[in-house]
Amino acid sequence: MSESHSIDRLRQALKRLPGVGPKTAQRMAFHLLERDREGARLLAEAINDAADSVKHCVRCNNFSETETCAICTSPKREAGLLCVVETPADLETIEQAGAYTGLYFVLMGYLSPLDGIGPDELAISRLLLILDEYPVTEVILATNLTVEGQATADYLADQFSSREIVISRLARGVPAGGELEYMDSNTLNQAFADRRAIH
Amino acid sequence: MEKRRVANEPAFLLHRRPYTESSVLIDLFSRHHGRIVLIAKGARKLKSRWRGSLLPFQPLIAAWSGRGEVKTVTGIEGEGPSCGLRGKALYCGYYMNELVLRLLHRFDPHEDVFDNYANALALLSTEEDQERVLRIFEKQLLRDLGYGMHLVRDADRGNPIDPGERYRYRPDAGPLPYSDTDHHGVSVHGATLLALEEEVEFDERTRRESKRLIRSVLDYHLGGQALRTRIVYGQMFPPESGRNRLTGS
Repeated sequence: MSESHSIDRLRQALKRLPGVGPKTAQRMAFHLLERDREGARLLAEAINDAADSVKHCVRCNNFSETETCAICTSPKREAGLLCVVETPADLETIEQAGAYTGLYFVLMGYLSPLDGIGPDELAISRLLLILDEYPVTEVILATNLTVEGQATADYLADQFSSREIVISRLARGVPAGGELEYMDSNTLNQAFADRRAIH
Repeated sequence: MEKRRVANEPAFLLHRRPYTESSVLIDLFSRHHGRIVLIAKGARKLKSRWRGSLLPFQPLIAAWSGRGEVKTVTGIEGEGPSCGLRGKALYCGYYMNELVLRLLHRFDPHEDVFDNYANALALLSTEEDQERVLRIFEKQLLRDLGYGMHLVRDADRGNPIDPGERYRYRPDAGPLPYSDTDHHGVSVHGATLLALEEEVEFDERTRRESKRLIRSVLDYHLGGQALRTRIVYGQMFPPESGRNRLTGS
């Protein structure tokens, strides 16, 4: 209680990070002050800088420092393909995998009624504007294969149903290197439902 | 203190949220131990065997251990196929989850609520009248938690409810004979109260009145805090205008 106001403020601020509780926040705060003042200044500067300069790309809604991000302005990307993902982290993962060459749209979340997140809280109206404005021929719904991700995909598919575009969903089933013996029954059932002919 | 272990417990997952790098914090509704919060360690990792089982609206068999407020999952798997809720039924399911989360205390077992919940979920995926499924679940839930509604006798003299009469239902008291001067409570026909009691088919008026009635009773017990799933449902399926509002145009 007798501690300084600054330390307490730092602790409260660190607690805002996901997965950081009071104990961890305290450990972080003391580490920065005791052992790494330089790091503390760097961190403060980097956060300040990012909070000021990072915006949303007007086209894909991903974080970007420029009005339109590098992927959206790249001439190498297929402009007719639009992959809808939940988060910037999902986009990064797909980019690292490297096989997808189209453009993206980042919803910045998923429908989650229990958390009070409905269509109005997601960037869905912007996504519809993008479809009006650009020559998209196929929308790939790459939301997560959770119940919420599926609900989000269902909702979007319903919203697009009147448009003349192909709407597809990521395939699901047995993962690479997967052994059937250790597969959960949901995944296995889905793999059977989505099986495909090989010739 | 002895470390408490529970195995082979029938349960439903009510809600999940990411916790630390790769774990998930889940709200489980179990048959014999009521509502509990557990951590499923490593459940977001690619190799986790639990990943495919941590889904709502699916009968689960769970095992856990721990002595604190938050238990640790030691096993969880699906028992039988998922209820497969899609479209409106899915959002009705979320609504039921929120009611259970908000109205049941932790570690307070309610086997009757559990069985009614399982039954209502199964009905949601098959029955067309989803509103009726919800109303009956709500009525049973209130009754099992000790907030039972008065549906057969009025709260004034204890006279039997007359299906042809109108009443004013007050959440804190029950149905009182209708009067033009008293504006407390919700106006309902006796037939609506009896339809809820007997769980018969609903006609249009019963559907409309029972919705307003139970909503007022629930709001009373929820202390006026809005239900999030109800707000989202309103966004997803606006009452009249079709889809204009949803597209934001």
